[in-house]
Amino acid sequence: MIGYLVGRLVQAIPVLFLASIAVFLVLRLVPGDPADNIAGEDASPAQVAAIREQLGLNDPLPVQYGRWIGDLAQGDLGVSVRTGVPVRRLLSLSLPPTLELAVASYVIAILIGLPLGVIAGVKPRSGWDWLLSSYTVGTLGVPNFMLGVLLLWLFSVKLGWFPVSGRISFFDDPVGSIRYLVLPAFALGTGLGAVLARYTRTTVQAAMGQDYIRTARAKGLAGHVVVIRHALRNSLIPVVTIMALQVGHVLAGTVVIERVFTRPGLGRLVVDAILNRDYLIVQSTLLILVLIFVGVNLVADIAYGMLDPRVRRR
Amino acid sequence: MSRVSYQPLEYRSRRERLVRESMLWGSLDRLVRNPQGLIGLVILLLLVFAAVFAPFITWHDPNIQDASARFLSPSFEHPFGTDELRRDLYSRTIYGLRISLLISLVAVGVGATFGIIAGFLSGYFGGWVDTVMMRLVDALLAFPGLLAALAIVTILGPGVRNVGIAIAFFSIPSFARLARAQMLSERNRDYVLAAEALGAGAMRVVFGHITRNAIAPLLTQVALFMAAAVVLSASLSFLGLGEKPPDPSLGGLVNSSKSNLQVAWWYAVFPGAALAALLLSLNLLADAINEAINPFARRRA
Repeated sequence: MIGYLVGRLVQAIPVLFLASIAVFLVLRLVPGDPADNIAGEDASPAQVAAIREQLGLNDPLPVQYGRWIGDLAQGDLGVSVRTGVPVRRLLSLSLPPTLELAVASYVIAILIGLPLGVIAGVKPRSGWDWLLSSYTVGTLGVPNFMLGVLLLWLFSVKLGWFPVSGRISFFDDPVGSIRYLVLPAFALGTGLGAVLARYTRTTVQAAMGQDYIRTARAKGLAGHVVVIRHALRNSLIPVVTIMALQVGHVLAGTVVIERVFTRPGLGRLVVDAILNRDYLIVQSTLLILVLIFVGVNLVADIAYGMLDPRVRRR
Repeated sequence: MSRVSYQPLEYRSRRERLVRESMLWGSLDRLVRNPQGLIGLVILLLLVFAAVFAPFITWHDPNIQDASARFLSPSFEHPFGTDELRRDLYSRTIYGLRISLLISLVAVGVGATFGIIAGFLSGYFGGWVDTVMMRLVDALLAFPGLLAALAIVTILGPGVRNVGIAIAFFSIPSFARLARAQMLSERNRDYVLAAEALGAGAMRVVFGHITRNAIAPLLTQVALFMAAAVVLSASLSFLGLGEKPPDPSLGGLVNSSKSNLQVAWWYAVFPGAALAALLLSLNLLADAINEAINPFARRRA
């Protein structure tokens, strides 16, 4: 088990390394001199040179990269060149709302997708199966931001059940926070739910054909016990992996959904930073998102190994 | 032992011969016989027709503010109503569709070409080239599509062309990965060994022989990626990183409809419906192509 764990950790290192280089290069590849952008149009050459020196842009690229990673390891993410606010502070303000939304989307996805997938898997070609297919086709045709706008129009503008925009922290006011979260989480979680339902259906259907299910039935277990304790348990492992892989899409989705519902968060931070050409924020935020993505997948892989002894031995 | 004589197969028509003997025509035939495929194909062709002939089927300039009033509800003159700047939403939707289709077609075409070539060569040669290439692909795949696109749009700046480049770039690793797998399964087939034994060079073997057999399964991926590209470009437009105003795009229209939901339901509905139709047709088509070329995916009736 320890060997498996170490092996997975070691495998994550080159991916993180290359990803960090890619993120680092984003800032360096921007055409024109970043110092020019920061200094503004009517800055003197001396001012621009001073800014170049201050940003360390005169050093060779590997040195700059080393410094960035070194600072990062110490928790120093740099300072926004536009506002002078430390990027770390911006992130600490933006990360909680985004994580809140991502978690809520997963909750919605699991509430919709898991039961639907299990029922359709147990009863293929039934009405439930048909419902699953229509649900999947529906989510393929409606991108999350469009669903968001439709939900906003129906439930906030027409019916007035939910607030139109904004966010309250879950720790300040849980009930109020959920009122703000429901629609964005639905907009993002519906598509995720379809992915979950489809995979659950496939794996449950495959599991239902196995000998151990016949054995469980033969020893007289109730139908729901057979499905939940035997079929579902064995089919959940690949489903967990797939759901972990979706973290990237969910994080990317929050960028768009935060825009729809005018919520604060990482997405707003990144898009505003791109439009303001405040590249250090983009660089650090992208790296944080990739870290989350790689981290979640690592945890899923390790969980996979713990749940299924067969994986460890390979 | 009696001699076995081989009779050439007789076909009733030229069409039957094509369908039976050619993988391409056979697949096409199965595609249109599949109701899903036919529906997808018909919708897509209608949308492509509308996009190509946009100037002939619209009667207002999409960017000119010439309607008699803001927020007119749908009528004969303005089938999809008008927007906050007295522009015809029907023209704007059709021209927006045009941009969406163009971006996804060109970007995925370019991305798939580069990705497939890289994947084929990587799989064919193996060794350190393959190792380096696949680690690179892993790193690129660590970025979810939209985030990668955001990074590229950061470098190149907002705009339709740059969104296209971003999409092309983000589709390269997936195609490379798939093409490599495809190449590995063809690499040691007899016909490849035969070609090599006859002295054919690597380029000839890869692009002359193997590509013909390995390309079909990648077509499903092309259709799926076109759908993903439509979503991605619409999302970027929705974020305000796509086309420059006043040019229309489907994502941009949905975005600007958001602030006018109280007064104009049609503003969100029609561009949204066009987007949904485009996505649905591409997804149906991808499924049908998969069933047509992959005997294992064909439904057992």
